[in-house]
Amino acid sequence: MTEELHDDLTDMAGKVLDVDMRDRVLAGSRRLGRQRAVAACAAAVVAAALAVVGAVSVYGQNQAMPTDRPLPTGTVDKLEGTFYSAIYGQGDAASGGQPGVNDPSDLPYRWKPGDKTMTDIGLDDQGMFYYSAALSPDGQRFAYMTSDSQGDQFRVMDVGGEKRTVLTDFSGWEDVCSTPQWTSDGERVFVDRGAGHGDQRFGFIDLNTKKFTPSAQPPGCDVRLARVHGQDVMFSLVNKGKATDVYRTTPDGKSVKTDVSKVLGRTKLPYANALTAVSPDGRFVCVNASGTAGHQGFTVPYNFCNVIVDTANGDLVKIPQQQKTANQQTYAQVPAFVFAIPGRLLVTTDGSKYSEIGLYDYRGKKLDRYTEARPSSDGDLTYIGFAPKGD
Amino acid sequence: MEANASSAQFDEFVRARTGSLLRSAYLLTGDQHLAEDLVQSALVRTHRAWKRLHDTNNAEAYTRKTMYHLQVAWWRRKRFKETSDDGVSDAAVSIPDSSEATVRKMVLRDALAQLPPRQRAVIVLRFYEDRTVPDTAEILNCSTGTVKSQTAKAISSLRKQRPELAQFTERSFA
Repeated sequence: MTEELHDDLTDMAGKVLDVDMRDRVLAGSRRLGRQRAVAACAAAVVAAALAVVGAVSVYGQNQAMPTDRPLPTGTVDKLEGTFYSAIYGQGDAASGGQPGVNDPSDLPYRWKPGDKTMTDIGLDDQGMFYYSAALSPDGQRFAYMTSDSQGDQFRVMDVGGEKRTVLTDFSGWEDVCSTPQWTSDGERVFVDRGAGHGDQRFGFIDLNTKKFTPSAQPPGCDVRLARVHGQDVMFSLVNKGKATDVYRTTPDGKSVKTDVSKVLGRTKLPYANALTAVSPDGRFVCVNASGTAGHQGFTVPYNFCNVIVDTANGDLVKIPQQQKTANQQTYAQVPAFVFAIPGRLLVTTDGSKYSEIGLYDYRGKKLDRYTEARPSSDGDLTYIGFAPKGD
Repeated sequence: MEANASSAQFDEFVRARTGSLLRSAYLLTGDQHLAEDLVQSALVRTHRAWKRLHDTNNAEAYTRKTMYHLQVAWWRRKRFKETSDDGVSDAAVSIPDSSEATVRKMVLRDALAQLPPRQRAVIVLRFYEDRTVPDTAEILNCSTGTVKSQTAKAISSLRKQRPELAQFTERSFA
């Protein structure tokens, strides 16, 4: 009967229409090389779409004016710290092989601005790490998900790759839709253990005792944590095709819709397709927004967003968008660690010749930057985390 | 000259293998456009790694592995839609044909569409591409135990969602 299943699958597969993909592939390759594909396209769209609504305010005359809370300020004016990145398609290098020949997964490593040293992070599972790793608030450990001979597990690893600890298991990749998140004190990790765990699905693992404590059930996916009024509040994205909303869930289980969708609804990017980052105090929410709901392509990068919403003022935060210089066109991407430095924003900019990480204040003024020539086109670089100096 | 030869080899590879890749992609996604999107994304990666790959004759394996990675990794995005849609897939609506074989294929297609991406990938790799458990594990970057458990879950889901498949899948899996 296996043959019968094979035959039926073969018949089904035969329904697909053959198409000539050569030109599309070459165009896609050129685009990926220039801009890291979809993120760049999204950034270009963002620039145009947000320009329509003016600088920041998106509330019309009939809307109740939100409170006018001042924007955060900070004291850090220099970009110093440790970055964690990954180069796609270099997985073989991690195991001593020829890069990119057998393993199209990612090679994660750490580096510092101005220092050419790239240190490989010793990993047992590159692919899953890239999609799930979260750097602790003190910059010393990663919480991540893995699937290997020991099963589907949440683990914690120090940034040197030496000490690894199993936290708990999850019931399968298809059953979960949030990756691990650290609490602000770095003592607990929020986990989504999957639908197979029933009412024990969501909760916190205490790093000292390894004890799992069930939490309230946040609606939707992409849970991010913030510390609001002394409580660990969960933010999550509910995406039902053309209705996307970010919710805030308090430890007592009350979930309230935020104004994120209202703000986005006044732009040409009304759909939040991913919740990427929330500021430590829960005021600012960074989402990957687009003008169309639904399928976003297979090359949508993880850990990036393109719109920051100030939920206190009902505004969009002004972030740098695409720029065209004499040398090249560049595109801005907002990484998941955008809020890593208090009162500052970290935004990455990509171009064909160099990539840049910029340190900005909340009014869009660039304070510092680190620029480097783009790595070889053999690999595409992305960012996993950032630990500011002193942490 | 060398660059031209390399470019021609890539063109030849794309033209020769796109059909086969599309067929697997179609089973993975259940949709012509998504299948094209998936294959295109994987081939783009292959193009960028072409210098290394065409010397090792590993281009197709690399492309397929990339395709499965992209498809499985994409679950986070796609899942939103899947969990909010409780209807039957468009493809399964109706094609009037009374033959038992055709009906069974329609049922199978509909049931496959309900599986989570990784379980679908396991079914395609094991039963369409005839991969072994270790091969499947290697492609999906997971353990053989995970492949076995995902296969069992997939078969169980197929059975649960479409009782018509019960006998068929039980014997297939045995």
